[in-house]
Amino acid sequence: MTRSRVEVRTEGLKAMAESAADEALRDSVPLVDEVGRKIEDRIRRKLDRPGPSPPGQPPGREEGHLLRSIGRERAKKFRLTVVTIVGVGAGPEGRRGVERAKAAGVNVYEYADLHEKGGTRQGHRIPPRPFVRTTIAEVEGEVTRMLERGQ
Amino acid sequence: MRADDLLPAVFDLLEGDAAFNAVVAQIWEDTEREYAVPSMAYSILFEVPHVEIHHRIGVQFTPFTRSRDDLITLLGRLYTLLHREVEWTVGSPAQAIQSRFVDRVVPVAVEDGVWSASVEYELITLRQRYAA
Repeated sequence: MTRSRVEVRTEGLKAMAESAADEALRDSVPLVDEVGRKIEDRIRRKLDRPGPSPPGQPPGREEGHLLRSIGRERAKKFRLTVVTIVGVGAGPEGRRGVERAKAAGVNVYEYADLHEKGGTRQGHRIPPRPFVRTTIAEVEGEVTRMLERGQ
Repeated sequence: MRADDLLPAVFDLLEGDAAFNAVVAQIWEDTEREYAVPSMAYSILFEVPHVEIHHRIGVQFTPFTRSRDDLITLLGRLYTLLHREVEWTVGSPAQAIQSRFVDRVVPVAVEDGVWSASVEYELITLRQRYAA
């Protein structure tokens, strides 16, 4: 015999690893949900101030369409990740806000994008008044610590 | 190092670049006003001293040019000057910073004969008390 063959079958181990990963992900759903709620609250607080606001600051409340369109999809396990979505038109509340704005003739997605990134109108500059990116930058450290601690 | 201290050094770097300077006449803080062409607006998106010893600054640059080619040249120079994989130094006295491209809005003609785009960079410096 000039050759030997060693074979390690991993089906059992793989299944165990997948099961453990699946359990860990399911356990993290409430935590990710809490992270989403924190981000949503922070965005709402930023927008819930009387407008107009100075350039660089989050847009102030005028008719309130943007504020009412901020919502959150509850955290869900999706394959090997746990996902929550926060922002304009997210979740039932966000969708209701978008519909209400639409009925009033306001495209809240365009309005949000114009403020988040800035834009131009007839030769005039409309500077950015970011409210999502600033929130993410502010909570990133806190959220990372929450996820590391698992609470 | 705060944005007020860092950004003038970054602007000196940009204005010292011949290709950049050939296209852009002025850099101005983004605000509600008529924009000059060619020029470049900047806006501080966030400034967060929250990650250990680092200070994070999000900056958006919005150039306005007369042609798409000028805009592409300008965006290329911004990328070359600011997108670095490793820590580098800027200003005098030299300050160590990290800088990375984060996001962009694609080039479009915002009106007849005026092209614009936005690019966002994150500048990461040492917090003041550690930089001394």
